[in-house]
Amino acid sequence: MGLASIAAGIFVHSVPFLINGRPQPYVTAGGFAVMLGLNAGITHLVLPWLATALHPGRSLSDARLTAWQTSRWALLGGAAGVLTYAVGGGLEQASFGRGQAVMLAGAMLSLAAMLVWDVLEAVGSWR
Amino acid sequence: MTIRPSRRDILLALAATATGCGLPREAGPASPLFPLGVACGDVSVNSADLWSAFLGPGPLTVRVWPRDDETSAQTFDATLDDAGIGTTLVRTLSADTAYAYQFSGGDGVLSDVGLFRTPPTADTLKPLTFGVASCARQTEPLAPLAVVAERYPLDALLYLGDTVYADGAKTLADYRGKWREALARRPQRLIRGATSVIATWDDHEVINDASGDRLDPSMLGAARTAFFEYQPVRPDAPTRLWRSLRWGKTAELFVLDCRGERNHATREYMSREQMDWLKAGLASSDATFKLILNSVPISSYPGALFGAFSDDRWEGWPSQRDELINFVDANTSGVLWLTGDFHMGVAGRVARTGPGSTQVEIAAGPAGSNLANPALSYPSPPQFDFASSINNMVVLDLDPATRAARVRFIASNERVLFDHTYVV
Repeated sequence: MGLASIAAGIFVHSVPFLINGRPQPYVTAGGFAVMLGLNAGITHLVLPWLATALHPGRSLSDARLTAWQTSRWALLGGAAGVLTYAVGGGLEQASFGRGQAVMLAGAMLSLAAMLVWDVLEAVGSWR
Repeated sequence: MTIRPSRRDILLALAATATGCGLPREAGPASPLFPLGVACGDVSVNSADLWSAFLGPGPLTVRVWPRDDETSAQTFDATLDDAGIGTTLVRTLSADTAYAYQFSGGDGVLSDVGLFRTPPTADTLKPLTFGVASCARQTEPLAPLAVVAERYPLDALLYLGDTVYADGAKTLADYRGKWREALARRPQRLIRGATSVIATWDDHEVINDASGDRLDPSMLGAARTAFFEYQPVRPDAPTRLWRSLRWGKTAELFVLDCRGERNHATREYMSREQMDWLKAGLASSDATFKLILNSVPISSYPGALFGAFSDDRWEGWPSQRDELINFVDANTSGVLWLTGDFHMGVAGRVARTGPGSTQVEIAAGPAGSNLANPALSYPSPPQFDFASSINNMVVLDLDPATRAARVRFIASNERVLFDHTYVV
């Protein structure tokens, strides 16, 4: 699931490469948003369903609610990562070299948020 | 000496013939016994190194004629070495003349017809057109090379390294195999046969991120031997790559070795001997353009992403970089840096402000890469005018009357990605 989401994000990132041969930071920020959103959507559909399938005494809506309440904070981290990346991209567009560290921080934060979401979603689904 | 072709050589030769690589411009089909086409390098006003690879029995000869007068053709014996490489140094040429040449094997089999032009005399000012290429991974289509070979008449091709991706090779036999694989490709045969070559090497002629002092000497030696076998280079001293070539009063070309002389212990990017030679040559040259063939960029690429990999390029060796940039600022004019390595075509200034901010560097390529430079950010104005990882080759027009260097990045589909004129 995570790999498919990352692949979708990379696809978005690669569109400007196909056109102009270079990245466009705001599009890449959009790629991170697609990656996070897709991963969140897929895992939120699959993991609670899997948890209730393995433990039939629990309702799917309860599992989804608990999972959401547990993992939603990770989405905030992801949003912060995307925003950070976009800010870095803006700095970079204004002056080459100025925003790269911020972009890197945004990318790391986005990837970390995706990982944390996956873990919390699993924990919440089985709680 | 006669060599026995391997099954791989025969397959490459048949593939080349089947795809039409063997078809010269001015004669009948070339024999598959010449599977790598022909090449010509380091041309002077009266001489040229002519090159081919031949799989058949000797003797090997080469016929050379002015393109407008085939009746005055001359024939020369070529030396055939144990790698099957045939070369001859022809010394009876005239300045500023277009020539054709063709090798002939022992059984009368013929090679492609190659073309080249000799430089004008040292006091002549005339416009010149060079092709500039780098990063030509042999497993990729290499279409920009074919496009330029067929559409743009060049005075010479400046090959800035990564002509072959020899990664994984260790022995001389390995390196020879990689070179044969690379040069059998149709675009390589077209561009090498269309004009003369002035070549240097970069890391992939040895191994990724090669640094001379950190390599097994036997491996470095094998890579160097293979380079001199397969590129038509005439060194000033045995196995020494750095040298200069003159193209009239319009241009002097300084070919650097940016890989083989690195010394981490002394923090020397190039030997003191090479540095002093370059500075003396730049200072004394009366050519309008001084082209520095520099396989790895000297420009500053600021930021955390690019800074992380600075040790592989000039920026990681600040002492010699500062020395050279300051020297060029203070003592010369008309310098144009030409580079490759980055898998990214770039045009811009060496530095944004301060020393180097009036010097122009052009990074050509990649001529063939399936992987764009993965940096999250690409160079942009005001220091840089263009950056793209679309496969390309550069056509460089030099006009000494206006000191204008027109730079065009040509893509695989003939699209001109960037067209800009710098006055240097």
